[in-house]
Amino acid sequence: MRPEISDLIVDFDPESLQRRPVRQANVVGRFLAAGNHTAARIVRGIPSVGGVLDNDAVDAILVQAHTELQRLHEEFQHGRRVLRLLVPLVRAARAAGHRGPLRVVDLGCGLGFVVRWLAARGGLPADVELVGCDYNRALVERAQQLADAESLRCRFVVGNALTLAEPAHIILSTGVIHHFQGDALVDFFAAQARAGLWAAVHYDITPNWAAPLGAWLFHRARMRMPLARHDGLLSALRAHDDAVLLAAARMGGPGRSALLFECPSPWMPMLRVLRPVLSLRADLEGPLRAELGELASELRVGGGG
Amino acid sequence: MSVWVVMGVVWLLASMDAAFVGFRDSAGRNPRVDKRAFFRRALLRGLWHGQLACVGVLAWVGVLCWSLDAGQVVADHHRVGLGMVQVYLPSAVVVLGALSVYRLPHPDVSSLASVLVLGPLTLLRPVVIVGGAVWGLLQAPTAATVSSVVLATGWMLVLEPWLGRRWTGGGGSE
Repeated sequence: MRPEISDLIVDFDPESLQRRPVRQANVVGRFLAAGNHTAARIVRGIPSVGGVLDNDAVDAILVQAHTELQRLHEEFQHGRRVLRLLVPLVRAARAAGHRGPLRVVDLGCGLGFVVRWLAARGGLPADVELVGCDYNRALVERAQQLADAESLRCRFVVGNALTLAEPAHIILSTGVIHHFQGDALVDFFAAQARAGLWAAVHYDITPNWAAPLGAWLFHRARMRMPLARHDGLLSALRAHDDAVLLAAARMGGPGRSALLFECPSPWMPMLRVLRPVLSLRADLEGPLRAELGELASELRVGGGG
Repeated sequence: MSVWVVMGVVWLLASMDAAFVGFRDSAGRNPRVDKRAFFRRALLRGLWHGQLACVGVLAWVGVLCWSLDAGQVVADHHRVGLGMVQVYLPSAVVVLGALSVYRLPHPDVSSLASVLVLGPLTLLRPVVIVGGAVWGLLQAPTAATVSSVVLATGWMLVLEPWLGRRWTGGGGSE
């Protein structure tokens, strides 16, 4: 599977989360070997020190790319879409027996747009705690600055969303899940099951006949950075289809409910660019369906189900 | 449409386009959630540059009137302007219609406007600008009208990169 540039220009130790040096020539070589000359050219343009990519330059690029990506999330009203599902999820968790504050954590939050939007516009109860989590310190610090600047009731931490000292009850993510392929995807769901989450909700691009063209068009029309355009298009090509996501969620979390929500119509797939896969505690599915009301018909357990 | 009406419509359409260019130039630069004031400034910045373009083109037409047969220059520009309006006005109606749909409070409906109209038309804007200019010039192709139309369309085409210069020193975002 073709990697994205942002996958390769940063590297973190999975235990300590310390940044590891990334040799520019290695990344360029990998893209050239894959025949991806565009990506190789973009990586060659990133400043390096002694052949190692300059962390500050990489971080600045990633912050800018995430700022541009936020524009797409705003245009497609992603915050509103997440809220449509999160409010019933929160109510369902209460109905299913959750007591005390409920912590919602955005995994791989980047600049934390979803968390900040929910804090600003979501109208969620005060006992719903909103946290953004990412490995990249520069993104997390910028997200916190932005939240502070608008006095938003949310916080951001560097770390693994599944192993936080104050554990998550509900995990969200956007555009993260296609970074996990094959066994890693199943392991990803297994880790969430072990963490005992009420729910994990992972939004990603819906792969369909319109997705590559739509991704090209919108990244061309709305984004300026070559890296953002490149990775945005590749994200659409790497996105998992419904069956793969549901199978991985079921294998990784046996005994949990695996569902899709608000899948696009095959005739107008471009109306729902992102759709989530849900991995729920089994006892949450009934209350969630009740809380969703008419929207429960948007839940899918498989092909057309 | 009289000369004055054509002039007014062209001015209105150019101003609207320039304001949208100002918005687009600023979109994706500011990661805050509440950007209303930021976008208001962006719209006004685009609008202001659009007014400069309009005044500049009007001044050029004035020079042409002063140095050539004024009646003929006005008549030729009237026909060219009418041709341009025939292209730009429907395009503007489509954009405004899509924006109205986009404002409806349902993500699916607003996505429809974005996906089918607003996104594609962003890429097509240079084509529409040039297409309208060519169609207009076909109505009265003279050296004078060519010079005015090239000046006007050139101004509109460079407006976005011109506005974008202000970001290059600061990492491209606020």
